[in-house]
Amino acid sequence: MKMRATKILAAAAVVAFGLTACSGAGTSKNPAGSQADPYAPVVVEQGFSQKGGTVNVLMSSDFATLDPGNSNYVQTANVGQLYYRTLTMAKESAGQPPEIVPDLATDTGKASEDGLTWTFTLKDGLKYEDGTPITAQDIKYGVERTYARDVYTQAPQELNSALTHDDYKGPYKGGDFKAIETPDEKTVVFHLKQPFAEFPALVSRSNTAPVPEEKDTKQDYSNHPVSSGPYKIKSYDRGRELVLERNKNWDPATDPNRPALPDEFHFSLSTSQSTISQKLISDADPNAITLDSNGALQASDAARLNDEKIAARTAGGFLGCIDTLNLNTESITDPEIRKAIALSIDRSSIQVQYGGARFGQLVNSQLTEKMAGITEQKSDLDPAGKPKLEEAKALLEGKEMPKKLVYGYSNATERYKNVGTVLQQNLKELGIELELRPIPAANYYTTLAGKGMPDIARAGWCGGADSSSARMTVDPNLGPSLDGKTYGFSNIPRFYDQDLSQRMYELRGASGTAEELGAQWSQVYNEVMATYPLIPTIHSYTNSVVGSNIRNAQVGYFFGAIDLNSVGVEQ
Amino acid sequence: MTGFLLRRLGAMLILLLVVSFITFTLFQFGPADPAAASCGQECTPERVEQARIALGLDQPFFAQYAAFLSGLIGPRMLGAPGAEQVCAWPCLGKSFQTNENVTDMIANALPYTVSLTVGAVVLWTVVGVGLGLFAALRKGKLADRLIVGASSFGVSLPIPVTGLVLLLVFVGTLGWLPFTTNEIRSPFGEAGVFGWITNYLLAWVALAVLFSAQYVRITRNNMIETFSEDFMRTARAKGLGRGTIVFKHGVRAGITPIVTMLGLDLGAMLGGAVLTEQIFSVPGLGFTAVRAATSGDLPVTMAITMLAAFFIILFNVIVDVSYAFIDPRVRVN
Repeated sequence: MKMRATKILAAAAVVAFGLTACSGAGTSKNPAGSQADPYAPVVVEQGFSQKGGTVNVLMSSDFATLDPGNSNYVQTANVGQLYYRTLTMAKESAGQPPEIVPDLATDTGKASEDGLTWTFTLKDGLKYEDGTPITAQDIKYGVERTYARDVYTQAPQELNSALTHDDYKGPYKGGDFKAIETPDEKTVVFHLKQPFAEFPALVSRSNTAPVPEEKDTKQDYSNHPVSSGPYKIKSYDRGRELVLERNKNWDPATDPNRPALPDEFHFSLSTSQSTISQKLISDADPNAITLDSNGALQASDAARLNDEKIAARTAGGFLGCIDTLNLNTESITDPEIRKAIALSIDRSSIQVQYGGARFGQLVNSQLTEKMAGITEQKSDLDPAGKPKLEEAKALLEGKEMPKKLVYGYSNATERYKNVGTVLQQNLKELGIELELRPIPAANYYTTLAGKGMPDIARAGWCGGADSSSARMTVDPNLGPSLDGKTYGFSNIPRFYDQDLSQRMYELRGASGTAEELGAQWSQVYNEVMATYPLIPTIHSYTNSVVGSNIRNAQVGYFFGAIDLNSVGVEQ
Repeated sequence: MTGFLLRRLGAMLILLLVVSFITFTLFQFGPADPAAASCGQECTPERVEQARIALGLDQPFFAQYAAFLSGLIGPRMLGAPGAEQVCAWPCLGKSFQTNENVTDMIANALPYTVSLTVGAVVLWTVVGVGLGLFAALRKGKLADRLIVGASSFGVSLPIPVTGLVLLLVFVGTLGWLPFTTNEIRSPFGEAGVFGWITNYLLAWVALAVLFSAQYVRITRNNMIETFSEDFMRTARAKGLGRGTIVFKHGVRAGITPIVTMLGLDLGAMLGGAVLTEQIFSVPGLGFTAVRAATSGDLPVTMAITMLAAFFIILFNVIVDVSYAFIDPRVRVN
């Protein structure tokens, strides 16, 4: 799923220097007073279980869509867990990659011996909001809709890319989809192109939310998706307000993952970020939270965040997103030159552009300790982010140097332009002139994937369907294409090495425990990273102030905002 | 008069057609590709092409433009083959980003913008024209200097500064006014007139600070010029009362440039006060336009641009007609 790291981190740009000053100790945002780890997750008023009340969710814009079959947005996934269920669920816990647990299915699936078939069985007693039963055919139909890509431009594709019958055109003109079988009303069988150990995570995506065919209103389905979860849509005034109320046909006995504490959720969909932050900080609405990136915090809020009372109402935690500077391996072909560039960069100055340490930790690898089985990652980058100019210059001795390089950045975000200014100064030390080239934000990633890829470009990756799996980070970022013969589509540095890419291609179909597979992927990542196709920079950390009546407020690792599933409200 | 109005109506339609064509053309040749924008980070070239079909952008330029115009005459079909939907007249298309009917989006956003405009215009006109007239009558005295000085200060304050300071002081710190809510669209809803006023007051004030300052200056200068005209001297020589001289002869003659400016400002405001709506969380046309423009949402951008142009042209006509009623020296022809 596309996390839209650009958007998730965008608000931090305005926070900039003001918050840098208060980034050091981390005591103020940790009620426990721990100074040891400024990045420890903070859950506001954990352990609350009282039902009732209304949570007011303040947002600066409407959801792009509420249709699970056309949703590639984390905000939709966050609210979606309230009104749709999937075969498995990525259950959030603060500071940790989500855990993949059974949801509509009785377990996380059973793979065939050859790993090419996965079978899921639905629980008993599953119903839609109108009381009709949820069937295996509805799950299949939900997946089928995501193949109608000429109707649903945002249809999630992670699951689809693993299934057979790529040529399927969707239910409106494609007929029956042979990659999924439903031998009875309770059983869903998926056929895969090659084994995929993380398949249970793929079916946690919104593709597998059930959609009753007779209720499919196509593009208008977004206005009222039929609920299979604990809440249903009471009213939806596009761009202004969404109200969710309890779905009386949801049976909590079938759903241990959703506490469903509040009676209602009221989403205000057009509140400016400055109003949101003022409202939250002043506690003008004690029942309020926000889903806006970085908790809608503004530069002017910096000092007040250190206030003890506000700190006690501030949830915090890492999200899965790690930013990188990608070096185009087709234009900067020599790994030693790429390494010299990497060593010359002052990543600590880049961190300042992100708003300082409060908004993200400097990292030397995209693999985190939260991932299963990862091995030690070696890097010559300074852990404190300082440049190693002498080492860099030594690497360039006798080399034919590029005199001019281009850094491309998304033109909607001032911070990314500022990162370019840092790079300009750093590369000047190596005698390289850097041109800063703005790229329209709306087309940023398609530009990087196409002919317009500059020599250096920033990108963010948020862990894919399973952020506890090293594969889900390594493969999309650095792996080969589907046939293994060139670099993969979302491989921004265009990294391709006959040996290493072949190993990644073979690892895709490998079987083993999560730890064994994680170790193998992290091993190959280590070797790839020795050639410096990309430079890891910041692992994002989100702070989100909530109203004084809000309980169990945690920042989701995947959502990058308050997890709507766990939140409650004191009455 | 009827002939004049018909001629202006014809010119208005032609102008709107030109505006729509220019907007459409600019969008087509702009740097952003709406099809790529609609499918995001992991969008393969194949999917971009599929999105292009879904959005109708695979059609030739003139076919797309003709399809857009056809929606202004009658209903049209939208969507990919196999999943077409009827878009009822007047059809301005569907949002590329949210698939909402653009006509509905406009209808939902317009009441907010009208609320913002009406209050702000009344406030800045009363304050701006009133103070400008007062300053003209006290020309060269302390009151005049104070008003002119304050207007220089007001005109130099950008809306983001005034708006955020007002919010911080009167809502965030003093708590005298509530946070703006999108639940109040007009004075005729549940919140009533008082709720409507308190909801929009700070936005009106922010706009009035900027616009009043301009009206003060233009009113003052214009009235000073009018007061020195021969007919004013004649009126004084005839022994008319001060009130009659100022309001019946002076203001009536000197108000026409102010009416012109007011008409243009009113038209522009109804097209959406972009910054004010953003800062005060007013989901009107300006708020919607920013979202559309930054996400490559052509149908929404087209509709709001055309509506803004319509208001500006409409108020130009109204201003022209109003001259005849304000100033007897002018006759509509």
